[in-house]
Amino acid sequence: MIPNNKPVSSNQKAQTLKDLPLLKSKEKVLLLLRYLVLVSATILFMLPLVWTISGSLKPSSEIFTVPIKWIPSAFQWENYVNMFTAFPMVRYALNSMIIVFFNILLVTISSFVVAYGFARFHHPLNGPLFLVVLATMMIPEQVTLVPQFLMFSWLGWVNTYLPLIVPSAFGAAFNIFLMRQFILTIPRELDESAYIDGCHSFQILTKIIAPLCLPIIVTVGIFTFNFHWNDFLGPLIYLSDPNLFPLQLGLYSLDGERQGITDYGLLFAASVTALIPPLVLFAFLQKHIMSGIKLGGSVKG
Amino acid sequence: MGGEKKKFWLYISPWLFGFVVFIAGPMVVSMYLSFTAYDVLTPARWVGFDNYIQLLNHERFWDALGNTLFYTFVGVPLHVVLGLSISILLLRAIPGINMFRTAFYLPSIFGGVAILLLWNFMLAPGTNGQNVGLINGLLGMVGIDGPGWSSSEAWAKPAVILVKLWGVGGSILIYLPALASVPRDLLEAADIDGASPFKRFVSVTLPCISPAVFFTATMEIINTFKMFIEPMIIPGLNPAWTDTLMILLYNNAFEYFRMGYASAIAWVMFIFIMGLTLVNLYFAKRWVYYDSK
Repeated sequence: MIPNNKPVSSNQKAQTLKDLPLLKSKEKVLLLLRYLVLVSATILFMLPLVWTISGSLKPSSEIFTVPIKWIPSAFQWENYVNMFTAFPMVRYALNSMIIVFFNILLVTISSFVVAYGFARFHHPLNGPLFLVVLATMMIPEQVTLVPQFLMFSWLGWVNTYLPLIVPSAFGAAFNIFLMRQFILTIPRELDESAYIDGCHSFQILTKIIAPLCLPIIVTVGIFTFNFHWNDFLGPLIYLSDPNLFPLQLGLYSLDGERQGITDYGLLFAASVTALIPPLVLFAFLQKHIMSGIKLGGSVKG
Repeated sequence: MGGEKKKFWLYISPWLFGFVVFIAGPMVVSMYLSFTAYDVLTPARWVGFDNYIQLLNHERFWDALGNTLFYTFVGVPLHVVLGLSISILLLRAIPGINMFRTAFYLPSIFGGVAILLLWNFMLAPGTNGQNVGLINGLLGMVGIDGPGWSSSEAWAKPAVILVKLWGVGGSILIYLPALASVPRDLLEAADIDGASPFKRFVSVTLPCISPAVFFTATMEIINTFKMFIEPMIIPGLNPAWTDTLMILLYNNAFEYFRMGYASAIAWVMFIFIMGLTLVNLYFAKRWVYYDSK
């Protein structure tokens, strides 16, 4: 179960020369077994993606055949061409991009500024208020959903993007938490020497802290992108004009109206296309994700 | 540095404003609304505990509560055990490990309508060997006659859990750093004492990573209580089999405009989540181990 990372040193007393090859071959077998388990589990996890991508390139009649046809008899690239005329794909995708862009911009900046406040400035209320930040992660948004909707409709913001974007300008608890943990790993001496050189606190934030925090800023950006790209409940509640629909809501309305679409290949192609942006983003920025998360420090729970 | 206290308030002010306007304020308002009848068009009427009494006499509420608890007590343990098993498998830096880590993490970034529409097709049970989706097609390959998934009462909820479990790889972000920080010398000491790998895992690794397990379990319970999109896109043939409290809340608030009733549902959910979290915290004292102790 546990990887046993003990180096096999040749000067251990217990090992005679005769044992060594035996040990090595035993390790080889274990390694082989490990790969076998890994590869089969990976294949299992990847099959849904393979099946749907292959389905999006098939004529509809071939999608549900038994036994499963992994390779289409003829690649139907036109599924991907036709979907642009069948649904307003481009508009939906652009709407999603607008919502996502403003959320990333606002939530990253606001959470970072707040995290800096919690990480670097002494105040008797610093600890208690940070606990409140953590506690808000535990409060399900449904409790505030109805009053928020009433507030935004009173402001006349229903059927605009404002309710989906404005709350991001005030930070998000989980992001503040991640960013604070990261800032705490940066030595204070850096702040102090910059202060002696005549920087004020905001310059320290932008010139010293921000460049060092790039991994966590990128990580929060990716999380925010994925959350808002996939978000469904928000747009569902606030948007009624189809021209404003983001991609997820657009796909839902296609499915929801059950417009008698029997051309499954088209639906497959449209759904697969919606998965591409998070995939591309992840491919380019994945190395930052692991390095950005530091859960150490004073975490409780 | 001068004016520390002033600067502290200045920098955290965006969060403070957001907390008052978007969280604390609305919570007070929804508390008040849950004791009123309010349809948005006419002013709210005070009705006392009416909403809560109605709720308890409403069959759909008990269905939704039962489903939500099923997802919590069956889905969350599966999520934790599977996530942890995968993370242990992915811990050792053998050649190609990054590719494997990516493969398991990948499904967790797909969370929208698109992937769930596709899952609907994957779960298609088919009739007389026609229109068979991926899952039953695979089961058929190994000689198992797949269940009806969403169209059968017994399998509709497991179908939703299966779809959620596909995204379990997201939790390796929490488990891997925790597993990597288990002190090597403790493991070696146990090894020298002749502990089996399993014994080592239970007595050394598990206590060391218990805060991470506690964190993911708590967050996953909350996520499960908020579950909305999965049962919305992959409903059972009879929605009562799969509907969650969140769907009930959505229907009442945004389809029937019963804002008071919806607020009562929200508070019942909140009380449940709080209760579960407190129980979780109480037991955590016994099994979660922090360095500082």
